[in-house]
Amino acid sequence: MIVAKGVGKSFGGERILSGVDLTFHEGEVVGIVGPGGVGKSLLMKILCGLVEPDEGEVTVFGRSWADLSVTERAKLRERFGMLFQNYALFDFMTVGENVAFPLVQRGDMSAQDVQERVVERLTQVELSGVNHLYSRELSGGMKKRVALARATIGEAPIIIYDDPTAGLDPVTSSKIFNLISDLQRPDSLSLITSHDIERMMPVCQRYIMLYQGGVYFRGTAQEAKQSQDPVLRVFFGGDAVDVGRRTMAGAEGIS
Amino acid sequence: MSGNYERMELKVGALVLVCSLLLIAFLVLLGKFRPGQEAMVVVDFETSGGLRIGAPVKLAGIDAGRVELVDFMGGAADEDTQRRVYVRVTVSMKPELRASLREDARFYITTEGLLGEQYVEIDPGRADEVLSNKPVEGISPMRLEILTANMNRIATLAARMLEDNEEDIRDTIRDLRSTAASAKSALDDAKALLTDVRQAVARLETKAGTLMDTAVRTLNEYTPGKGETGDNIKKTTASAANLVTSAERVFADGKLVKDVISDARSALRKAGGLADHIGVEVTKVRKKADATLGSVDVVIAEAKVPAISALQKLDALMSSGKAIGGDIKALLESIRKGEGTVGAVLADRELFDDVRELMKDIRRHPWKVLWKE
Amino acid sequence: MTQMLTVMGARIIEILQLIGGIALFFLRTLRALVPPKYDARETWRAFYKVGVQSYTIVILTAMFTGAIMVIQAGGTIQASRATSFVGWAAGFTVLSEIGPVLIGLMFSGRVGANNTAELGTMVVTEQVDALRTLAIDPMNYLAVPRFIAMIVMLFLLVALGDLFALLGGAITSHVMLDISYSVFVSQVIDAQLLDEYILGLIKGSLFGMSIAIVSCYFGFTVRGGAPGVGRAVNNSVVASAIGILAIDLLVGIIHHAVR
Repeated sequence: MIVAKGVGKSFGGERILSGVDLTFHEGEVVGIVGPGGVGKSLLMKILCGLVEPDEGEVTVFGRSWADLSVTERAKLRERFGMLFQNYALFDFMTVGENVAFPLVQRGDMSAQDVQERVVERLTQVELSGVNHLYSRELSGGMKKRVALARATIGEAPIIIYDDPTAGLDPVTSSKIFNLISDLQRPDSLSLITSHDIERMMPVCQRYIMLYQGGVYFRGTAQEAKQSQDPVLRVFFGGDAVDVGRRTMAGAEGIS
Repeated sequence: MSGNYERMELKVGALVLVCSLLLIAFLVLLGKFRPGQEAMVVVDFETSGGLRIGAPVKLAGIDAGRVELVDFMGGAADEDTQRRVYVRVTVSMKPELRASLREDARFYITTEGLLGEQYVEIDPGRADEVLSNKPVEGISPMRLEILTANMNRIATLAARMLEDNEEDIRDTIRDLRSTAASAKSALDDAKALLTDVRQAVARLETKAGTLMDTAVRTLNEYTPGKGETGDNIKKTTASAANLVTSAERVFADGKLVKDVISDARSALRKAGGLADHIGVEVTKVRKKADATLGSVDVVIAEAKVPAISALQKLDALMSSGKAIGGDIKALLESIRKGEGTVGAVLADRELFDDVRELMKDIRRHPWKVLWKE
Repeated sequence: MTQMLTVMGARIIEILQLIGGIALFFLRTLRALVPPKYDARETWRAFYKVGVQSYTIVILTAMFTGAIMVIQAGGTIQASRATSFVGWAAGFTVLSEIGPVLIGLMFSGRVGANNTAELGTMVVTEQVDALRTLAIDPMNYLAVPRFIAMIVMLFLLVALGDLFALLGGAITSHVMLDISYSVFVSQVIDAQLLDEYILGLIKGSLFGMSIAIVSCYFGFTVRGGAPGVGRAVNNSVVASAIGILAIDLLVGIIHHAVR
């Protein structure tokens, strides 16, 4: 479904990613982990074509981003649903409009169908009755859930959840992961970035760990825990080693 | 939410509408924005007389357009018209009014009221050809202050002249009148006298003729008498007595002749005196006329020559007197008719006074020349 | 010495990069105008934000401007007894020069800054990325409506401001110079200021265009979270002001040359 070959990216002379080779298939739920600032979010944006890599190429459904025209890229992006780290809810729209937006934008449904679907999806994320509110009137957890609803309402084949639990309390985090699990369809690919490996566990089938600008590990949680590698052991096996760093990375909004 | 959205649309719409209306209002108020095409006419003037952009343009007194531009060209030569241009005024007019202008249309810069706004007045003209698009030469405005100054000077001069020579002028008129009258009576006298003289001469001739006949016959009868001396002497004595009687009668008639002659002489003397009188009068007239009216001089000179020759011959007197009378009459006539301004002024006392009043008035309020209250 | 030169050179390169970036952004905006594919709703919203939320400040600025012009000219006018020039002087300066420039500066301070902040926040909170994932080009969706709205609204707001500037001038002349309102109005009308009025309106649209481009550019190029937004807003207002004055100068030169 998605193939990345030799992807590298620098920002301001600092090399963040280099030589990343990845392959994702449909029906998978993959966790992308790694310390804050390692480039998880950047990798996600490269995968969905929002950021062009300096080197290497990304192929989605057999088509490389680099070969596509602007309109073709826009077309291809419609096959992605994305939940952004910073919610990215349109603050000039109400919750209902935000959730409906992907469907309205696609323009293949009647307004009534859209409305029904929105209500349904908001009920699924336990947010019924907030349609008319603006995102600034919501709490962080509610915003995440609205973003979740918006990311999934289009039922895109590929859904990227970029740090869906950043800055949330553990209870809410669990709730979010449960929702992701609930909303997962068998034929779609989901990529989830997070530090919260413990709560990711029930959701993700396999993990990719980014460390020091490259792919450090790929495999299941079991494999990681059994590994002798100290970094992996700390990251997967240990307790929340770097809560402070995680929070910082979340607040800064860039990784 | 959709209510919110509609309210937003409403507010935006209202703002746009208000601003657009303001925009249109400003465009219309501020200027040249008028629907329809305007025809332009370029007019050159010597001076703008203070004409401003936007001043009205009137065609025969009716609003027809406005002044678009007033440019000072500084005497630049115009190639089209071969004129030096000082002030070039561009005037916009409604096209249908522009079309009514003829080639001899005249453009004036004038004033509305005395100190009112300057505007361009157009006399559309009467020529057949329509006014071309070349720059037209306009009639430059009379500068009000200069005009007033000139009028004031002329009025002062005229008034002073009338005042200074008032007596002379009045005398002249009186003399001219009396001269004319005496010349006429002299002519009448001369005519009557001549008739008398002719009758007297005719009578004298007749009497002298009869006297001569009688004398010749008496002489004839006396000479042949011999035989019949006694009778004849008797007869002769009788004849002589007749002769004496006749001679006495002739003598008596001679006295008559003497009378006739003396009559004629006195007539001649009278005529001479009359001629002198006429001469004096004419000279007087001439003097006076010289003093006041130079132009009268020529007429007087013409009249003088025949008047002098009238002294020598009665017939000459008659014809010459007639000529003088005619000339003077013509002169008076022309004065009466008022040929020339001064003549008109002098012809009538009332008019004279009127003029003097007017002059005084004008000197006090020069602007009355232009504008009567 | 060398260090100073290096710093200076770096600053100059930075400024040139900025100008180049803004120019490129301008071209991209123009490119996005055709085909005319922009969200009607977002355009209305831009009109609302740009126009309805700024007309009060425009009116206030304009009234003060008109008043100040009369006060400034008032002393000279009274001294020379040239009261018949008040309408002309106020009209001329307000309509062609001070009105559009001050309205533009206030507009940039309010609407331009607001716009940079809004777009900057959208960038920082990934709303712009979200739009792109939803197959929406931010140029079409965000930049073009603002571009159009600012050009149109600043044109119209200058028209609105001119009225209030003249109103301010009329009130001041009445109070200060004892010139009746009707006299002031007729002086302004008689002054034949159509050219100046149109010039002012053209300036207004050009200012609107430059404010739109500059504020959008700074908004879209925000880096570094919330503090970055603050910096961008600050830079945007300064750059907009410079842009307004530069355009004013340029238009003035062109107008002079054309006449």
